[in-house]
Amino acid sequence: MSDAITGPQGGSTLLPEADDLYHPHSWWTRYVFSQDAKVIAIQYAGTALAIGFVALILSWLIRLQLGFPGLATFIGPAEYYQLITMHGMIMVVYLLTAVFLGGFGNYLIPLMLGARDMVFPYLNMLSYWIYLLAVLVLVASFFAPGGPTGAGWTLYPPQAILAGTPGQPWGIVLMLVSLILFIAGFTMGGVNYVVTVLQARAPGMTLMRMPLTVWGIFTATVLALLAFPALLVGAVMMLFDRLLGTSFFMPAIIEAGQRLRYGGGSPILFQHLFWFFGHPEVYIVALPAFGIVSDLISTHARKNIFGYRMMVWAIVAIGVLSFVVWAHHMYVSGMNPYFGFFFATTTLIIAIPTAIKVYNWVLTLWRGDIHLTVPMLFAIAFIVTFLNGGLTGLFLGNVVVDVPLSDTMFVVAHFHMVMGVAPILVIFGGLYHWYPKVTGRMLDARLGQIHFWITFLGAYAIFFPMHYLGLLGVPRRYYETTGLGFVPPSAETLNAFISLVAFVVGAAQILFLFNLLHSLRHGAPAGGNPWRATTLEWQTPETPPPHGNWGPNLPVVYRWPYDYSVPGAPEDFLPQNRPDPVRAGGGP
Amino acid sequence: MSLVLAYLAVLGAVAARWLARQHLADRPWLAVGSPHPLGAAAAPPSPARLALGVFLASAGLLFSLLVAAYAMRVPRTALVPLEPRLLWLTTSLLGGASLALHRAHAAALRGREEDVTAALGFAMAAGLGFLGGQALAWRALWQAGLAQGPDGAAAFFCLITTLHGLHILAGLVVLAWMTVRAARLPRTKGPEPGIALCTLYWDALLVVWLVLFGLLFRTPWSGLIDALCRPG
Amino acid sequence: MALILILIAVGSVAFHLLSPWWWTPIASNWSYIDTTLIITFWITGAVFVAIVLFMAYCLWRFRHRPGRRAAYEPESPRLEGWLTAVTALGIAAMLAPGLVVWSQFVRTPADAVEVEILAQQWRWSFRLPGADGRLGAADIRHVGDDNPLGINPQDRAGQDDIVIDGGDLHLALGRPVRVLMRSYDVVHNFYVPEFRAKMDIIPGMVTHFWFTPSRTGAFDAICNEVCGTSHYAMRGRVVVEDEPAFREWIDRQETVSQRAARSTGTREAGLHPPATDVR
Repeated sequence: MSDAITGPQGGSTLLPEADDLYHPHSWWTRYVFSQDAKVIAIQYAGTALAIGFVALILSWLIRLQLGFPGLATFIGPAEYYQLITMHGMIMVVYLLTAVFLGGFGNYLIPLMLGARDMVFPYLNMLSYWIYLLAVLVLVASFFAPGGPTGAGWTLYPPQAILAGTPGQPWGIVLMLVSLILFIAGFTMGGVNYVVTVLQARAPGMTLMRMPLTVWGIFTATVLALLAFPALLVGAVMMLFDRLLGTSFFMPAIIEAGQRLRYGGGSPILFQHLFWFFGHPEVYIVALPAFGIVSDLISTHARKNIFGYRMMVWAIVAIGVLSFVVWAHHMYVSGMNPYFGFFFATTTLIIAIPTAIKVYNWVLTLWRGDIHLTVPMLFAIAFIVTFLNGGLTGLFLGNVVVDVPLSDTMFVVAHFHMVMGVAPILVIFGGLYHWYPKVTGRMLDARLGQIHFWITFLGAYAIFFPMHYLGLLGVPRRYYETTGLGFVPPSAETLNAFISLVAFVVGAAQILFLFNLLHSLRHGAPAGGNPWRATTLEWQTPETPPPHGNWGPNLPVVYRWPYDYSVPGAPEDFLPQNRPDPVRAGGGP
Repeated sequence: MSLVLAYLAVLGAVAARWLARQHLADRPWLAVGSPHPLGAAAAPPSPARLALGVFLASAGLLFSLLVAAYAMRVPRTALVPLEPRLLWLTTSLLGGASLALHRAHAAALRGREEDVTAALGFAMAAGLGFLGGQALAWRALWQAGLAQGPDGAAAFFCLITTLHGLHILAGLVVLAWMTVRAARLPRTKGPEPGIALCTLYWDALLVVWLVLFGLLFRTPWSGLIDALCRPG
Repeated sequence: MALILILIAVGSVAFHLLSPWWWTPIASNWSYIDTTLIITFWITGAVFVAIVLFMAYCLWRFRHRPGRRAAYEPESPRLEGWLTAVTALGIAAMLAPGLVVWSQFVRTPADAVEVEILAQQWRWSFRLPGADGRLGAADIRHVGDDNPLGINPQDRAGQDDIVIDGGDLHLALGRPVRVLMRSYDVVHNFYVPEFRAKMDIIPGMVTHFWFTPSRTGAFDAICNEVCGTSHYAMRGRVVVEDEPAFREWIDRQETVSQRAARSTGTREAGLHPPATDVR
């Protein structure tokens, strides 16, 4: 039978000819220096969540200052700028990117494709340890003389490396070194994911039979491999400017009455490099989230994802387009204003494939059989917040509307909604969904419900009103806004309200952490396929899957991943590796 | 950025050609059981070769971004204030290393082990020579204080040499490891795949260097590169 | 869940309509920007409400009940085609006015008066042209203690310029202004919310934007691109007044040459330390 199915066969590293490979010998190689993608995934996710909690605490302090200025006397302006910088950088790079690609990517790519592991397990392990090193260097900057950098997560020069910015002695250097390490580590992982998707798929797993999660992670990885070089170049050049006195980004400068030795450099060059990375980065985070949400909705609505082909094309289209929109972050940067026409147009065009994805998620619900499980709740909440954030993106992408709104709280509200809250809701949904596979036990659903409602409604209550502060003209990155004529006292009340909600939402995450740890021991046993899902990761012979995943034989794939509620089938789902040809034609 | 966009367009074209053969317009829900054979699966590249290709695509973008940054930052008339004879020497060393690797590859295919080892040794020596020469040029610029100059050409030379040199260095480490392994282990299947990969890697770095060399100094092909990265 | 979604949709609209936080009353010609924004609000608001309500309906209508089975419908190219077309139309409806207004934004009218803003950590200085209506050349090389803006002493056009160092910028009502902006240290951004328009200020180059003040009054100006520890405290003030009041104000100001003469006088009297030309 397998002769008829000429799927891409993996290389020799994938077949269990070397039985040894999948039987680690000591505790160290099993749990610490493990080459098993699943263990590496847990290490990645664990590290990312840990540093994410640091970022959460930083956000509390930020809100403390914004909501109740003057209350926290230990937060001066310098500390405030350090807080926002580290919060932003950790969330975007070290949490979101690492969780989606390093965490979900490592866990799900091999399992969903029916592979035994990543193609290069050793490289994969190295990738994690370099990531950990990057995180440690980042953390070290908190304790360096002068503290971490306070340049804003965009690190615009010349400001980032001049003495008027906190963290100038060490913080910025450690930040840049940490980013360079992160990129080096990610590149190892990224090459691995791409090769695995291209060459290690199980027999019968064609590209058009891959779950959308894999499509999302795969496309995001390709984007990352092409976007991170820009950040690398920018970071190395800035390090040269800071440490060796070159002037890549540094024009002639007078600082505190002193003429510095710099001259001739171009600050805008850095902005181009940064956003050439920065905009694809948004999709590096968003595409895996899109993929995961598609699978969550389909599984829990017991219905195939509506318009699978359109979904795949949209992912690819968004990936391609994301490289020609970067300068929409720079409408008011002083670049040639005529670029505005081009970038506004490309930016609004990218909204079309994105909108199609939203329609298809919603249409998947139509005539479904919707189980409001905790992962499903998170998926629906994602649609609401992503929709909201995506629509406000249309304000900011439309060049002329961006002029008054750029660098105000409107921007802050927008990107928190679209690439903060929305992807994090997906991470939660994904964790509730796949936790049973990882541990063999269910997360507590009641705690999950409480966690969900506080997080979702709270986040919405934080960021929805914040848009209106931005409309008012309240600028972002302001330590305090007292004394500004256009900021009425009622805005301060609103700020205090937002802060209070933020404290509650933050505290609710402790509930989640507790659930995560408590259910490890006390959760209800899950069985192999608690959600009755079709994709391969739920069909492993053992749960949690051992190193090597599949036992003696690789699964063979016979159908696409969304055969839910097929007419005539005895059950409402048909796993991808089930051969019986129960099928009565297509849809209506 | 036009060079970067052109580079991306080439990558995009390669990806599009590949995607076009992946039956993206299929309705996967209609095809249960055996899918149609994936086109031309006869001889897929080995995973290592594919990985190297992906990595080189990423590194290539890194270098084209450097070129783009150079074009944005450095005035057209500015040149690296350095006698290019040394650089011609290092360039030929790098080319020699590439040639030697090709020879090693050919010798390995014919199973002549001594030739393989000799060619590998020559390639390594040439690689080291290249790095040494670049370092000398680096130092000369640095000591003259030219790298901090306002037109940035010398600074770009230092930056580009560093990043390119680091890639060469990584290649050298792999090459050394391979040579040692080839010398110590009895030959089983032969080290051809490794040598072939190294050859590809060095060829790619040679091409990158030739572009950068043409950008930074006046070479016969500088006009072409200038036209590519500064249209209009 | 469905109920909550409905509440979110209704609540968001209600918040939008009832909230006391809205943009500041406009004080420039850029009411087009506000119009475009309003169009965008209507379109996106309608889409948001429609999709959320549709979702709420689905969640309620197709909720799981024993024996229920979902329909099987892999796709509907026609429906998707329609949705794509409608979306494209909506996008075009937002983009088109945006681009039209932007083309006005990038084209400064010929009769605009030039005003210069110099941003430094963490203060604003302003320069207005003198009787000749032109600003003199300036460069970082000429900066000294008594020449904070670096005005080129050789350039005759600069001698009658008026420098406001530490005071408010005054502008005449109804006269288009072309704002030229420079910085000698880091990136800044000059933003008066009431004017809507703004632009980054990049050291090493001159950036610009234009607007016409349309309402008298005093407006707070802030720095809107993070520029170091005291970014939040980098504030200024713009006063828009009618032509006679503006004339009266500008006549009271000292020109560059008058100021230089006074400064030389004090220095010769030994009251002022010589300027240190640090490099």
